[in-house]
Amino acid sequence: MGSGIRKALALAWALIILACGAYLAWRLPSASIESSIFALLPERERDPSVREAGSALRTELERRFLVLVAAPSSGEATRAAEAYADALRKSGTMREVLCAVPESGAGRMLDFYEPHRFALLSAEDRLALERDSNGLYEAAQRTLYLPPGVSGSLGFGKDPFGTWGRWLASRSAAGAGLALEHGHLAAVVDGEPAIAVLGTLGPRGRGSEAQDRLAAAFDGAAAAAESSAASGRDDAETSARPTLLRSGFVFHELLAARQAHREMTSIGTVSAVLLLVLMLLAFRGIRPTLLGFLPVVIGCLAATALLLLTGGGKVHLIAMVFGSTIVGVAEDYGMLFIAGLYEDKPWDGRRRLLDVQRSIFLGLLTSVMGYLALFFVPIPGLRQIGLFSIAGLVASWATVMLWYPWLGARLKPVSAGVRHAAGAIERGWPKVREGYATRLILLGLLGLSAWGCARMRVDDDVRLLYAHDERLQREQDKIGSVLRLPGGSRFFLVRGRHEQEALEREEKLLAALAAADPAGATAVAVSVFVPSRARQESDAALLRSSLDGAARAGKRLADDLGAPELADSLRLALRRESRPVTVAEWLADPVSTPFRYLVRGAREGGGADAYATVVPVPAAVRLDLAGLRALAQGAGPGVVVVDQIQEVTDTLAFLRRHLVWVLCIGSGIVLGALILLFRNRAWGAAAPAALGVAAGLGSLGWSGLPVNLFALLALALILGMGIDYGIFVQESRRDGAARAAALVAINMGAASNMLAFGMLVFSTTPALRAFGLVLAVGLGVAWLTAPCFAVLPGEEPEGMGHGA
Amino acid sequence: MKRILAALCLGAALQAAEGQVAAQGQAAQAAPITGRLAAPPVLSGNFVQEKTIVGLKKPLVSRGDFLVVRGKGVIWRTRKPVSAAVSVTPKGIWSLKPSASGLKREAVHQGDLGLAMDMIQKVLSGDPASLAGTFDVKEAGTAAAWSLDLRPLDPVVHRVISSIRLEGGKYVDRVEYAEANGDKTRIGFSAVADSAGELGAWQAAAFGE
Repeated sequence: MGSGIRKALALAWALIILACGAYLAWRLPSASIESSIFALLPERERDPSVREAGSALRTELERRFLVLVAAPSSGEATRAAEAYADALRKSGTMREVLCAVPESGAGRMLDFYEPHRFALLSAEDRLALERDSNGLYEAAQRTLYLPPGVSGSLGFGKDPFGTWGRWLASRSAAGAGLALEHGHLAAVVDGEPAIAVLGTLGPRGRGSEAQDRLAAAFDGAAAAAESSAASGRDDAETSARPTLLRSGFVFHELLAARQAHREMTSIGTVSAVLLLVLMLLAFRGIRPTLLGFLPVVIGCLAATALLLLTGGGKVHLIAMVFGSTIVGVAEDYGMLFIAGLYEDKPWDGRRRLLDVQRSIFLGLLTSVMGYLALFFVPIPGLRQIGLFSIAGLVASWATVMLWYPWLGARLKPVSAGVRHAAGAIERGWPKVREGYATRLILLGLLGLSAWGCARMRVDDDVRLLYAHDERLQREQDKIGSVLRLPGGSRFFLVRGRHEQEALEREEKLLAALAAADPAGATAVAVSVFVPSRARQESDAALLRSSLDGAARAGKRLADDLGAPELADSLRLALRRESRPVTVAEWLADPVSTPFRYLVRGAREGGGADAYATVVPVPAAVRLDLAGLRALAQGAGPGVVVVDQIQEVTDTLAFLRRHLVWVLCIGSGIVLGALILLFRNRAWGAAAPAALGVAAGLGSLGWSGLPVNLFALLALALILGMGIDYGIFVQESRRDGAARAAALVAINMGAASNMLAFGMLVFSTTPALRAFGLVLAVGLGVAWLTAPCFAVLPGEEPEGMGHGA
Repeated sequence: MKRILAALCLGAALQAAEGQVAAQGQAAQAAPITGRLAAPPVLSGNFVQEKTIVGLKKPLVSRGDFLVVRGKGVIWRTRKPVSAAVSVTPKGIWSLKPSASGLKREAVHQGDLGLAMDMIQKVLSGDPASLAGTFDVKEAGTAAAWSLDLRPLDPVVHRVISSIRLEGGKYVDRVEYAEANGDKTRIGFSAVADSAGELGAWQAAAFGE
């Protein structure tokens, strides 16, 4: 190729990269970055109404949180809770913070339900009236003769039988299990009075800045609660600090972010510093160091631009993260180039490129062929990863091929002493061809790996992705035992042809749930606030018939009280104030505000599942998924149970199963390519990667960490790099200096990748730890064994045919 | 006097009897009469309740007895003209009915509204600090003959209870509830005594033991 053409190509490549950069700068800030794992799945895998209900519920519940502020006395608890809520309100990060109950709230409930009050019966009252024809008469007597409040009645005038008051009270019991005390929502935690602070996060931007503000708001609120409790004490008596029990997705998120930040600064800084020191030591200059990493940077840039372009402004975060991890393989290309500084020749960038371009191209070719396997499975997410990886690797390769003759034209070779040392290391490295000891060691390694693989266990649980925090979990468990809250991740989706069918199915479901788990969890559901029309009509009829039925409750009451007109006025009230309340009326009134997310509403076009509501499974329900499923089936054909955590876990398992096939197919393709290229030396080229993969999997068995999607990703990386190492060693057989240079490239490539990813073994997040471990062990083995398979020119390995 | 307040009020505040000692000390300056109180472990007595209901000419009179056990709660038993019993414990209000196995105990739901009344009972249990926070309190008289007028500050509570008046000397003698709908309830106490007797099986069951 002429120098003119080379120059033109290099310039063209620079323009392309500039265009990519400009495109990203313009498009990325406004791009929609998808982070839901479900977006990786093929569309048909998920029922759209389940998906919509799930994401609506998630957005609603993820924004809510509850904090119980407990203190030795209710005064201290109230003061601390008020201070906590106040600090949160002032932080400007909240949509709403509730500590004192708004004055309108409970009063509004009274006004809203008054015209419907004789159509509403609590489960206990309904049962009592059905069982005992005297029930209504006795209920009235309790209202008349017990002190106000203890019968549950709201006063004889409006609620003669106490049915309305008890119905209302049982609704708010469904709400949470908190008691209204002195205008605050109160509970008792470990014998201490506690006041609840309920909040909803306000809209917030993406990124860490918004997260920091939120974290600061909660920290500030906790400090305010503490100091208020301290300042409220008049005496020197040592009073305990208020205890905060937190529940809500946001706390997990902030904790994970804080942990990630801590790990980024600790693990990230350590590995970056070590990496820099290592590179500077090995190559004696900042310029070669930069040349080592440049292909990866350019590769990721170009791949992101391509992904954004083909995705129409939409990219998936996971595809980007996985893809750029794989593009890390391209580091080998730059490393091999600059490893020429160890050769016993004056440095010439162009000549070095000519020397290694075949190795680099073979490395690229095998990797691309391997990752092509990602296109063989019909999963859009894996295809995106494949596209990103291949585009990134090709761009990295192009960067080395087109730019390095200029960028790497003038470098300072390492000193003779260092060079000799590298040569001595290469010569001293145990070789398979030299004796049985090395073979035995490798066989032993394989045996150990096999033993580890036999103990492997698969676990796709999505919770492995979160750092587990004991304290937060304890707080949440305690809140769950004190209050009845929706669990957040599990819900029933209740569907019917129309509103009434859905409500009736809900009622059936709630009754079954109460029977299956009598220990207490009352679920929150639309039918709790708006019973089905059929139920309201039958309840109203039950009340009316009880008044005039066999027990003649109305007549007896009138006689007892010496007011004959009473029976007639009761009859009239029961008829007039029993108009069924409708979902539309409820939705139009502020009383429904906290619960509107439960109504998914009617879908256009009708059908058997046209109308849908959501019933979150209370956290206290101990039933497992199978038990819940049975309840759902019993409630009607349109009722399904959705466990979002389980769904994510299933998705991860689905991706993992397919990735196993991808890896097998990819390995097969690569092996075929190696056999074509290297004939009977192919096994030497493939062995380091194979040993690395075996050891990486084995390490999971030894350590007890689970095999999951992320561990497999590490395997994909080991395959790509291990094959590169094998190729570099096989291609550098012509002389000792070339072999030494290849070894330097392998050492530096492996060391830097181990520093970049292998350090994740110190992470507190189990999935990252597994990734780090597989990578550190697998890459380490591939790295250390690759030079063992070096052969000299003319030398052919034993036991193989003579294909070449 | 606190013993009587406690007796009177079907007081769930007993749930935090120990914790309230400090609060009482603190509130003593604000409410001198209610401040000098001590709670006996067990207190019992009789009551007469007279309820005037709007629209009914005759007041409804009922009689019965009560039992307060510190840390456990209150049993309130109406005997005439109907029998009806409830217990108020730290865990809620329970309706008590005789049954084949001795006693049937059913929770009376206490939601936001039931709680408005539950709150009043807690207030009456003699936690003066909470009296001041929830009611506008007016005191009159001497330690031997005093009265307290309470008006709910919370508008939601005010929608149900418009005022409460307590009168007494050594003990609380009378309580008057005025409900917002015009109904009035007067309760008078007699034969109040602290006894140290063991709880019977019935009482233990009523407290949920």
